[in-house]
Amino acid sequence: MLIKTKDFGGININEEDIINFPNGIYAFNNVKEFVLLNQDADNGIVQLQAVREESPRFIMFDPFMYIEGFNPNVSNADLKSLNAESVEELNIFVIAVVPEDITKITVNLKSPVLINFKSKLGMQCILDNNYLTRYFLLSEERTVC
Amino acid sequence: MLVISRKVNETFIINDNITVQILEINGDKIKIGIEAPKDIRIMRSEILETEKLNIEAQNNSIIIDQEKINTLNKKIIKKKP
Repeated sequence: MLIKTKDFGGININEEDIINFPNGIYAFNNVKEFVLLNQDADNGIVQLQAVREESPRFIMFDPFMYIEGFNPNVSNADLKSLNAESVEELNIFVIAVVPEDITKITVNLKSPVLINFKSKLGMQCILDNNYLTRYFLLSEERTVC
Repeated sequence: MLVISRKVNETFIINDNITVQILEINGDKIKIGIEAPKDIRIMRSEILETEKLNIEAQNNSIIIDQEKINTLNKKIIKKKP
């Protein structure tokens, strides 16, 4: 299936790779289908690309690769809505705001994107953890969330 | 900021038509009930913040190419959240 992407032009995806977001992503609640691009890149940076349109697409980081001690307290209700029994079944990413000056890159640790590849379901949750929505990934200071 | 002290079950009123009641206190968690007209949008502030950030993220985020990744990898030391 050919889709239009923001970063890579037209690309072919497998329909089995489509992840359903029944509630969309906050502020984009009507966009229900996404694919994850660049998952094999190994650098912990992926794109969450809408299937039907070029936009929205989000750049996301694997928080476990970039933030030591990231320990999201995912609620049972969120697990259930993704048909997961435990957080280990999920892939977790955080959405980045990437300005021209890459040293000012921030990620939203409070509202990670949760994906269950088995059930092909995804959501953006709001964690109970006291994490920052605008966390400077490259800040020298070890700020406490 | 206006500061009001309330006990459990006590209320206060905003703008004559919004009633806020303290329902339960359990450690550092407080349950609050709000009665307001349907057109009043009520949400946890982190949701509004996340909506704004998502709009910013999909508009502004530029593609991260290999050069940028190398820069990032050099700069990122794993940080405590």
